[in-house]
Amino acid sequence: MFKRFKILFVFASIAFMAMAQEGCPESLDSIVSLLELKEVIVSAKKIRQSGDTISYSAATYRGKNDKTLEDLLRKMPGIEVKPDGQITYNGQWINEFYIEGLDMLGGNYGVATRNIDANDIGSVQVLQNHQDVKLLQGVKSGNAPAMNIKLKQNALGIWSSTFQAAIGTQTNISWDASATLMNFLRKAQNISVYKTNDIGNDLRQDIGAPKTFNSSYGTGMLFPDSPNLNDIYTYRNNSHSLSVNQLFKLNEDKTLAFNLNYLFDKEKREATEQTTYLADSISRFVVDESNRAGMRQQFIGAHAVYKLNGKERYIKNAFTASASFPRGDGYINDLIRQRFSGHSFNIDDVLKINYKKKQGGIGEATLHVGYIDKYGILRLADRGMDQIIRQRNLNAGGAASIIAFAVPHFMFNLNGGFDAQWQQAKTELDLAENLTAGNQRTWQAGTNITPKFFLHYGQRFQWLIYVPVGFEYYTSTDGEWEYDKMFFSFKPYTNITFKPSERLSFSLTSTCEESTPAALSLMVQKRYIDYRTSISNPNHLEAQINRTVKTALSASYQSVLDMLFGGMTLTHAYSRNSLSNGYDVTDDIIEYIRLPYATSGNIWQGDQTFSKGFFKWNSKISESFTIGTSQNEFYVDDAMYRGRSNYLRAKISFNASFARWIAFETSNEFSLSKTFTDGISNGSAKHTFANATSFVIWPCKQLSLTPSVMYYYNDYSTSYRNNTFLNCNIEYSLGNAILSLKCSNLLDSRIFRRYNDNGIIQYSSQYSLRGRTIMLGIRFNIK
Amino acid sequence: MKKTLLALASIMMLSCVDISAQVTITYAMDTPTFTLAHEDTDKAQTLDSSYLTITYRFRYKASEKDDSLSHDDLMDLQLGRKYNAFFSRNLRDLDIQNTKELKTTMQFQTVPENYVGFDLLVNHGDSTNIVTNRIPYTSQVIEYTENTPTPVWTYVLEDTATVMGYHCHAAKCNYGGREWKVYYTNDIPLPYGPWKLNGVKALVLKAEDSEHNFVFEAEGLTQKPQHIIRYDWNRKTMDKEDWKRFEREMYQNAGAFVRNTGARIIIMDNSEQGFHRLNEDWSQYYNPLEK
Repeated sequence: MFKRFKILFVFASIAFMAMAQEGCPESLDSIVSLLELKEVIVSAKKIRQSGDTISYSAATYRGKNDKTLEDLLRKMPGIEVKPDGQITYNGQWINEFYIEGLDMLGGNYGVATRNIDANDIGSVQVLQNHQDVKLLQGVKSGNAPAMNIKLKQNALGIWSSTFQAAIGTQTNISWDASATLMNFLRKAQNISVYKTNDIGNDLRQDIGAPKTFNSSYGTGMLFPDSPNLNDIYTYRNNSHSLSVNQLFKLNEDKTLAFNLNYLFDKEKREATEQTTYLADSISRFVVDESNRAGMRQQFIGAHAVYKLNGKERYIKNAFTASASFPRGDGYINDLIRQRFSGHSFNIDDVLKINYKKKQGGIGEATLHVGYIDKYGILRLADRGMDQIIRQRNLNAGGAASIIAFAVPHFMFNLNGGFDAQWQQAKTELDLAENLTAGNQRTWQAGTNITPKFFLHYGQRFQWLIYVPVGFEYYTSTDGEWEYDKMFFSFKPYTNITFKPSERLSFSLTSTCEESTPAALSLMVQKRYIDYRTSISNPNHLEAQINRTVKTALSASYQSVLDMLFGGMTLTHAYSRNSLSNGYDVTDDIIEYIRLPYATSGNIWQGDQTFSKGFFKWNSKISESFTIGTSQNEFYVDDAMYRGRSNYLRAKISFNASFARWIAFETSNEFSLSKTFTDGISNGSAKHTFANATSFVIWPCKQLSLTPSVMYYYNDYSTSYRNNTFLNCNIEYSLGNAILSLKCSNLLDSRIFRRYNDNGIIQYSSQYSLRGRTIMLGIRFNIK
Repeated sequence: MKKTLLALASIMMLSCVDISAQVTITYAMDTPTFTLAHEDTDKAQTLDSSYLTITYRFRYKASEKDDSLSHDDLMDLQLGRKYNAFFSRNLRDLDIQNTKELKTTMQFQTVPENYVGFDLLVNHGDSTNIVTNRIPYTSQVIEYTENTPTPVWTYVLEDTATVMGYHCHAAKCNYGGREWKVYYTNDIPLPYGPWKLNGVKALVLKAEDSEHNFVFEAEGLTQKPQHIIRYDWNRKTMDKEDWKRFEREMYQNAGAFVRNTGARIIIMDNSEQGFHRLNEDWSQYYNPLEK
């Protein structure tokens, strides 16, 4: 425990100083007896900076109730952990995640942050502007930070395991269990995790399994949208997952990593929904539905990464293969039964090479090959409808340096590249024994030249521009409808980073992207996206390029020793779709058709973040503020409408340990949104407020109580404006084990209202929540 | 690539005439570096009791190009009526912890390379300093005695700073081949400071050399009495000049020195065996406080 005090008493006398210099005992006694100094206790360094590396000392942040690395990260100033487990540092997403300098998990670092024991962490390092490629280190900084976890000495070189099991009651029996096995050696690492639960812990995120299905399969069930609420209240699941992650360090420069993941997941959702479609300037089409649906999936994924990161050459090859088998069943208004089944296979390989060239430049080459096969069938037995959609996509692309040279402060590369894509979409619609089918195949091949300019002055300034320019040849066949065309491709990118000092940095990024529509979206044949929505291209509109321009200007400030971090970002995104979708309502079916009109969208958003840590109470305060406007154009029955949504979000959170026996955490978020259609307001602004507050109390060394409350308020409607969730966890340490009693949603809150409006389509729902859950459990570690 | 020190303790019990156990320690590391050996803290002599203890954060270079002074340690200056002591607080705490652990779990933590291996004992009675230097990889220590240095200070009254909440004035001197600038506080009229920087009219709270190789900065202060102690270690005495020569040789011929200590050092690599013995051509970065 470290505190800082101010001086109480000051004493100075020339006579005494002179006598002190002579070293006379009597004068020394006089001086010493008059000294009344306030004690200053050395504060342990919670955070240090060495060059670009910020190190957080885990011991100074760890609290008694912190179980995993994620619990620690939440307390560190400048670091934020989002609800889905993604981590940001001073507003930037963590780009790479290492454990003891090795990248075993790729982007799925939730496996580590949610399973590594907090007591095993020595320090958390943030590598700002991290450059993974050794060839480019000292020359070109990365644009995003990386995180490296340093473990304690006694956590290295041994197999450690954690077991946890809990059983309880909701409406039915509920359970939550996990087993984790880990080993971190100098030349190998392993994290293996088995988890199962039906109390709302989402296992999909950690292993990269999909959470939604409809849009990617082209057809599917109408599944209620889940509200933006903690999963323990909304995610009614039955899940099992197994994740095995292994890394081998072959030598100083080479590593090989494998990840194998399996998931079985069942989810139920129930909601009463109302969707309001703009029909024309004065009327609306309103759909009221009760929706009960269940979806289950089996997912298998494998990932292998080989990396050679030497001083002469960098090679990284990432291979991914996955298969997913979703099934769904549900009722709309208790009358219309919808059933969905499908499968998806995905194989993907990305190879990236950097190498030194004789002229001093650094050459680069990339190659990407991927294949996706998806099949989905939607059955509506009551309507006698079957909708089958099959999609295949084979794509390849590559680039290599033709010219690469470097002089002090400047690098130039001229790269040549190619891309090729074959797509097929087959549809069969059996509607009241009337069978129609479609088969669209597209071929796209292109070539480009990319000049890259890189200007740099040490770590202070760098400016990267590259301008891929080329041509794309596109051909499409759909029955007897065939056409081909050439597109001009232009996708410039620029990034400027300027660091006038160690504390301040500025960045400007602008990128232009382009895309062609997927084969399925241009299919003439009508297909059903869900039981009441269809889409078709009856006018035989040909593919055209869609473009997006995104620009972000940001400034960030950090004072590491003061534990102060802050930043501001202004973002603009402009998108232009050359073809639009307009809808019309016929026989209660929302029919979208492709229209030959272009539409555009604009988003302006300003973000501000602030985070400060304090020695007092080992506390942290974070604040963020967002303001923005989103504008889009829509077509309804051949008439264009402009929808606009203005929004504002403010969030403030604070955590502290006031004394050894009590800790406190609170988070508060306020949002405001107002929508307009063609400049006319759609009613008053909508407000929401969310608060989550918890205490941790230790009446004695072995016992802890964690009462918490989550409060949500919205003014979407006159009813169900407030939701209060009361939770309480009690833990008792018995030797190596921890016994726990976990109670969530003690007030048994069952309904949550949500609302969404983009100025054209409004959506509101009354969502059914998981009720009260009480679990009794045990957790222990073995090392 | 960051240096990592792996301590692999292999304990071999050897029989001895006096039945006390000998322990051989193997050091395994990625790159060679000096590591201090553990010293027993069970036997000690209490010389005095402090009336004031100041804790300085001592920052210094890890290598020639290390401008950010990435090595740092906490140094305690204990002021007593008969003796002053100046030593690494982190190292002492670790020695005490390791002494305890070795008796129970037979395991210990290696000394991090940034912990400072010298300590000073100032005897006010005869105005002498005893400087004790711990030698890497061996429990033997070498000490020399000198008359308490009396640097000649030039006061720069217009140069002021606030250190640890105290208003301070500056003074300069040339000592040990380096130009030192210190900040002292008239609120504590005691003529002492970190290391050998004594004789200023009041307590020195911050000291830095002109080439920015070393910084001492006060971060803690207590008037709670503490024992000023001297441990019963295996001490060898030498002249100061002999020590300086010895130390220079030790750093410049680090590989040969380590071989002579009998310590077993292996450098981890990716050969079939996984390691190789230390190369005798190795030399360690040498930048002493006193040139």
